Amino acid sequence: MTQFVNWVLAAALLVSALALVNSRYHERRLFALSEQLERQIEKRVTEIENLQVAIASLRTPGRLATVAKDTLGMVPITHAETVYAPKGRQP
Amino acid sequence: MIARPHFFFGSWSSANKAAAPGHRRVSSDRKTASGGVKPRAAGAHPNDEILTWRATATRSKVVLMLITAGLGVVWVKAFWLQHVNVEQWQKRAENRFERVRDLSAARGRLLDRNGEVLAVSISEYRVGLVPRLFDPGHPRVSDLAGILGVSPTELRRRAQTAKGFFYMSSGLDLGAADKVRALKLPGVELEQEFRRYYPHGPAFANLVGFTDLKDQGQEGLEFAFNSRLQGKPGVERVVVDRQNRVFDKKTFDPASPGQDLRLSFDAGIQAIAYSAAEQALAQHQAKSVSVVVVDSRTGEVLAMANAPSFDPNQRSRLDPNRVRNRAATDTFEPGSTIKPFTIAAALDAKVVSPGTNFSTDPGRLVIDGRTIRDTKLLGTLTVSEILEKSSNVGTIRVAQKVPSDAFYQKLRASGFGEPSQIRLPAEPAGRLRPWQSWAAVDKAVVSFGHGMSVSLVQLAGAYTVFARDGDRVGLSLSPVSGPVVGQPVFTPETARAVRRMLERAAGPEGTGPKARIVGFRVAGKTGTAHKPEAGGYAKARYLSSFVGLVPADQPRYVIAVAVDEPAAGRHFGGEVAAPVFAQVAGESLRRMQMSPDPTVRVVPALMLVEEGT
Repeated sequence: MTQFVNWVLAAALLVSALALVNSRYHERRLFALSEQLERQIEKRVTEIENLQVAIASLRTPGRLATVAKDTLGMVPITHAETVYAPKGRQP
Repeated sequence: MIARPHFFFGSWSSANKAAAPGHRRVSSDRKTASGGVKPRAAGAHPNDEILTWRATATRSKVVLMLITAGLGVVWVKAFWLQHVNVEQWQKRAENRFERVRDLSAARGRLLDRNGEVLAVSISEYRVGLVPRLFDPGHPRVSDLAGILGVSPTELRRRAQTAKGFFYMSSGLDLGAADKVRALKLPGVELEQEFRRYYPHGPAFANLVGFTDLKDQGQEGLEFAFNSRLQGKPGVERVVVDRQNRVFDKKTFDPASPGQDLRLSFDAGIQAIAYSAAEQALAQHQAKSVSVVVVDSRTGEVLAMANAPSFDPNQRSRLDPNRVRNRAATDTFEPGSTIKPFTIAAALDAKVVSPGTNFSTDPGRLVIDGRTIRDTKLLGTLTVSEILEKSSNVGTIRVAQKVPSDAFYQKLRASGFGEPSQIRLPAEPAGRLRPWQSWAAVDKAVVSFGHGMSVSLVQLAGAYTVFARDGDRVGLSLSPVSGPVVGQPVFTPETARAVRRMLERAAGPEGTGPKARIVGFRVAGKTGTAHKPEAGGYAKARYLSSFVGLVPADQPRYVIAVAVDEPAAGRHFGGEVAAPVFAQVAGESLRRMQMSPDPTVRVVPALMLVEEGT
């Protein structure tokens, strides 16, 4: 009986040892994967930031004024062109 | 030690013989062949077996002892390693498998009040070469040269002549860095770096300032708020395998990026102010033009523009004359723009009323041997008209009625002679001599803004006193929410009276009619000062200024304009600076969609503008 228990324990030890090796392997593999994904996230974040900066520099008031005046032929509104609406009523 | 395996060998073979005689021949042959113990048991006898056994029994005991002793040695060694010299051994193991990686921290962004980006750090890469590991003959070296934009021969030459690690190229964007990485060339290393980018270019350049190569603020707001913008780089300890692949992180000290900083400025108004300043610079061939816009209800600085400026993204040649934020760092003699403070001090001291008459005849005044003139003969003027016509003689006569200490205190309370609370670098206090050291002529010249110096920011801040009801709010570079209660300087009645006078000064009969804008009431004061030079004042070098409030009925903005040395013929503040004011004020009010008529609210196409927006 004792011998049987010993055998079972020995087998359990072996199995758990193998499981440990296996889990260590997966741990490292998954770690490498998560590192890779983190790098990708970082890269995308940087890309987004760069695009936001590009947008920011495209919509500076100075540039918009030039485009409005030169390309679109727009003119600043004057006092005479101001439209009034009576109070409390939407046009 | 050498003898030991030999001994083991022998004893093992003897035991073998005893246990399994059938194998004797084979074993003894083997022993003989291998030059082991001579077969003592050759020609076997039963007694020999016992003798052999006895002999081996002793030996086994010895062997057992030795094995135990060996195990003991191992155990002692293990104990030694794990408990006695632990630290040293741990350190050695760590050195072998751990690497320390630096994590760079981005500098915080500078944002305007609406969240527009004024300065941002862009992540870039630089390529370094380790000549020891780099193989110039590698077939992909020319690909690398192509990505870096250098010739392959140049790249090879530099790699061969360099003594140690060097940076080949910097400013690579993400895509290029990926390509370099994909080449997998040995000895080529990529390092992340940050470059500061300023989307608004010259409009904000001398206000925002710039950083150096180490990402430290050097000028302007970048310098003033450096500690807040700056990030803290982190450190990461990683465990690597033999191929330098990371498989575990040990301790982790994350990089903390710098804080973003939201400022009080409005990029739209700044653009308006900058373009107006630039136009005026060209039109009057001036040395410089500065414009400051302040929200008088909160003290927020909305714009601070200087021309000439520079492109902060192309900084190969920096001209110090363009880099300086003149509006905050340069002081000048304010001239007539100080007169409202003199009048207000007199009104507050109740020595005059707006209707009190003063004779300005004969258009000049001699004090302590110094002659002070009006530009033309103005006759008898009321206090209100003195400001409207900007009479020097009249202002001096008003000032003479005010006690010197009270006058000085009012000027100090208005913010002259001390740096404003905004934390811009190199901000001067301005010059204002204490009243105790005033001679009669000193008080007289101070009353019309000479013999003292101010910065444009100080002047704009001081005028909030008239835009509000006599209290002064501290200027702020950060957004301020809600109405602010200022420090009282003048009584509300005095402030309102001076505001009415300033409105007349900007009217058709005043010195600054060109400051008027259609649809809004404007109040403001012109200033024209001869520039001081060694031993006196320059004849033909002027500083023209205008400080005004719009809309005069419900002041919202204080706008100060200074044109340094206009050289295209005209030099009066009313002709040079006032139109700049009108341009900035008109466009800013339109941008804010403020109603031209205070009794009616404008309803733009899509949104209703609330009262007070």
